[in-house]
Amino acid sequence: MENILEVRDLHISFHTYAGEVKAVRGVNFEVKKGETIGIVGESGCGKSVTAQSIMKLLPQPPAQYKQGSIMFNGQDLLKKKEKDMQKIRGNEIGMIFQDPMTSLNPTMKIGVQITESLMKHQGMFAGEAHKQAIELLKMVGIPQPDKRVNQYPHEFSGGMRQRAMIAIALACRPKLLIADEPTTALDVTIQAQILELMKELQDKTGTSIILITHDLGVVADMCDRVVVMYAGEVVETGTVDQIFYKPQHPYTKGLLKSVPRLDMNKNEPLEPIIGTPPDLLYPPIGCPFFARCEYAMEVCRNHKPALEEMGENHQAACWLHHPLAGTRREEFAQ
Amino acid sequence: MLRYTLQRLGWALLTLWVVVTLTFFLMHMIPGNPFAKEGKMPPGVYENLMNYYHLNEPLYVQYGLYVKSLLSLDFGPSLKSSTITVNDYITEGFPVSLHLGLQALVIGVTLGIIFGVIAALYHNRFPDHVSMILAIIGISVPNFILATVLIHYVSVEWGLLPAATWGTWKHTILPSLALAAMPMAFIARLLRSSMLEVLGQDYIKTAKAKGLARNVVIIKHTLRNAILPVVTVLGIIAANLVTGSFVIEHIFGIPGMGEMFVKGIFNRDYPVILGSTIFYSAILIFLIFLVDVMYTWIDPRIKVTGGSK
Amino acid sequence: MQPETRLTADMFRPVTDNFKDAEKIERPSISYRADVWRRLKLNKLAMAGLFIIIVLVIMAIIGPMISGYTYYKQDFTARNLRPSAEHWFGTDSSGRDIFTRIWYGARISLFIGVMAAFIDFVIGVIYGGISGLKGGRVDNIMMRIAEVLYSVPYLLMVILLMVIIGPGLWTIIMAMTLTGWIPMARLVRGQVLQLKEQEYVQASIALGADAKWILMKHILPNTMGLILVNVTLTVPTAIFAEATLSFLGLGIPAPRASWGTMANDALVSLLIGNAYQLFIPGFFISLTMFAFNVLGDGMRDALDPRMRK
Repeated sequence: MENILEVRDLHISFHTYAGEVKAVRGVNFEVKKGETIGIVGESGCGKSVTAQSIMKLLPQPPAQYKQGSIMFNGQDLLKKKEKDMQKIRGNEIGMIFQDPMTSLNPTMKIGVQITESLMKHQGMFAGEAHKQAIELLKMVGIPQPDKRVNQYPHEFSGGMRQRAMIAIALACRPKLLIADEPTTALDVTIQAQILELMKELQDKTGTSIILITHDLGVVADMCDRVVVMYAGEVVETGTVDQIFYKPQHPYTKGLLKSVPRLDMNKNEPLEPIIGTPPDLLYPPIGCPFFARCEYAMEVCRNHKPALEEMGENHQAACWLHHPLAGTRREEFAQ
Repeated sequence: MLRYTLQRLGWALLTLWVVVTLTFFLMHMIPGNPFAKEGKMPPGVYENLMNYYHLNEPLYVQYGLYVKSLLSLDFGPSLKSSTITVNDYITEGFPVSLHLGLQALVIGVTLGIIFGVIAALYHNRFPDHVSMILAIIGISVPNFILATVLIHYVSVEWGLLPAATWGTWKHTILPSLALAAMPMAFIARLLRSSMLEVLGQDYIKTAKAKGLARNVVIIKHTLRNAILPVVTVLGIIAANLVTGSFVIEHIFGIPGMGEMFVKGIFNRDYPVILGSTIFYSAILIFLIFLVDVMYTWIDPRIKVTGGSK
Repeated sequence: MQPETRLTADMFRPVTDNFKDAEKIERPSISYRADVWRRLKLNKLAMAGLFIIIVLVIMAIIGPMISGYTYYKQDFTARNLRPSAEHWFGTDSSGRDIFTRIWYGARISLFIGVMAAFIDFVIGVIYGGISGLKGGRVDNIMMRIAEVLYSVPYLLMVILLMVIIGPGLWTIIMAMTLTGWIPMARLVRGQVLQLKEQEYVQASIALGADAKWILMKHILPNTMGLILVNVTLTVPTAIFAEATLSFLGLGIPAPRASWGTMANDALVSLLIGNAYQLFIPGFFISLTMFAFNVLGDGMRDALDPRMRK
């Protein structure tokens, strides 16, 4: 299956008053046609920055694309001019954001926010676009779409707003949908509905999805493959099964252990990963996870491990998989 | 919506009544008879005053009758002459002042919006700094000082525009500019910070993510949200224009209501002062009421739910 | 990028000292107050404003003493002199030394400005504090009254009052503080309502503290920043109002001078070429307003947690 998106060696920094924050430090991953990949990690690991950078939404000062390429449709998006990017955004790539309350313009009707895209990218006239907008609202499961299309965002509930956002993002049938924490701000029951909706739409339209989240439950539900990020780097990638049942990186293992599960004994304590992520003003030289890793070795301190193949489609960046790693590897395998 | 409008109207009328009452009783606190000028009064004037103000009646009767005449829009006679009434002054002067005020308002609002938008778009760069320095100067230099500076240089030294009186459109330029400076600066500053706040909002990110062109994003999406706080401030601006007009008309010798009011102050022409104060107050209170209501019409969050802010 | 080194088996030995860096916080933390002050100091414009104010105050104190003239002595042989070595700012139409009068006027204008702002502060804090603390119906009524009073066109009432009472230093101040306290009251009330719900205030009430104690010990320290900004920004409004009043002939009576009365006196001189007599006090009025405005702006920005750098 072909890749519709290939991110190679992406480096992004932010120039702040305190200095240069290296937010993304050498990220590689690809997205195949029709699949859903999840990018997971703690707050500040660079997943949101990566997602926004695909469409070059980051304001260029203070952000800077230092290195790397983002191949979409055989073209490097990083090399494209702003005018060309505008043709791609909302058209071939769509994006939905975390907070539906604040992501919709409060002074514009929902219908207009949809028809804008249609009229710009597909050259529709107002009447046609309006009809299409109603169809889209129906598609995302909003009742009474012909009435709702003329309403304002504050008249919608949280779940409905997120549905509207999906309608806007999918209006022009993009090949790729980027969803940045789409359910984080919603109630659990609404979460489930929205995820269901996204799966349905994906089946219908064949759109690939990049799902950014810190919630492993969402990943388990939705994703085909997973990319685990930490401190601006990719530390492991694999299929959902591989990641959940055979994690090959201490961080992934730690994440899985820290999630409360229904089948746990209620007296069992939760096991968080101690410590906090490193400050990316002064990023660590060696493995980024070194300071919090149970299986740390001397080599990890100053030498950064590369992503190695662990099996079919499964990669991890960890010195534990080096032939010279002895006792620690056995500890990890338990 | 309607309920809110009626509520605000009620408050406006109440405020107006407070003003009328306060003004009336303040006038009567003046030692001696405020309606008797020192020295000789032109014949007939005293009679007019007596007829209008019923100065021989007890105070509360005077008050009641005064309110009654106000309601029929009769502001009473002047101290200066037996034939001229305050109403005459108003009908003569108000159109002039209105012209000046509206012109200043249009200039101030338009330029204020332009500068505010530019400053926000070029945030922390040269155009922003320039606009903001100009704006700070605009709110720090009192309008009469600006007026005199303009007169001195543009009229006297360079002879470009007339310095005084009112006649051709050329006469209106300097006074309008002097009057417009403060509102322009105020609006520019306000709009700038409002735009910056809106530009940082998520829905602007969404707009960009839809591939909309920069201009579209700015004007269509940002400005319509950012302009809301500016609308709320229009009432203050109007008040500012009114009080500014006193001084500006005086300096430029413009025969408007402001000049008449100032002359009345100088001459201690109490009926004129009384009548003008109430007339101006009525206008301002009404304008503020309009602005309040207009805001609820413009902001869809309020328009649709019908609640008050 | 690290250099290509050969990896030895020894390098793969387990370590356990890595955790000590886990909780290290890279950036030094800084207290809120220190951070606010630091940010204010970085704002060059605000610091310039502060500097100007300090210089003005110093000159207001020593200026009349170093000039060698008095502010009231008229000398008809030395009328309308341009600035020179003998009269650093020149003389006015009565031969009085302008330099002395400017610094004497500085005392008056600054005093009026600061005093009006201070009185607004006191009344506002008390009114807003009580309204907020009492809450419920009392709060409602108090705020309604304030709202109506606020809608009354302020400058008009001041003018009226000045006409009736007659000019004088304290009457001007009193007239100006009539409704100027209302924004401060609203601010304090808002803060009180917010902070009232905090637990440490509830605890204090439970321990039997009375309203005054709570205001002084809990509410004020937390609101001080906002209050200071408000006071700083009220001063230029007061100075402007005083200048406008003086310009309408309702200012401090002669021979005392405020900047406003000096400008007013000089208006006549404008067209006969003695513009400096008006521009000099005009300049100082503008400079003072500018300084307080930029300082107040800077304080407001420094207090805004969103602008943390």
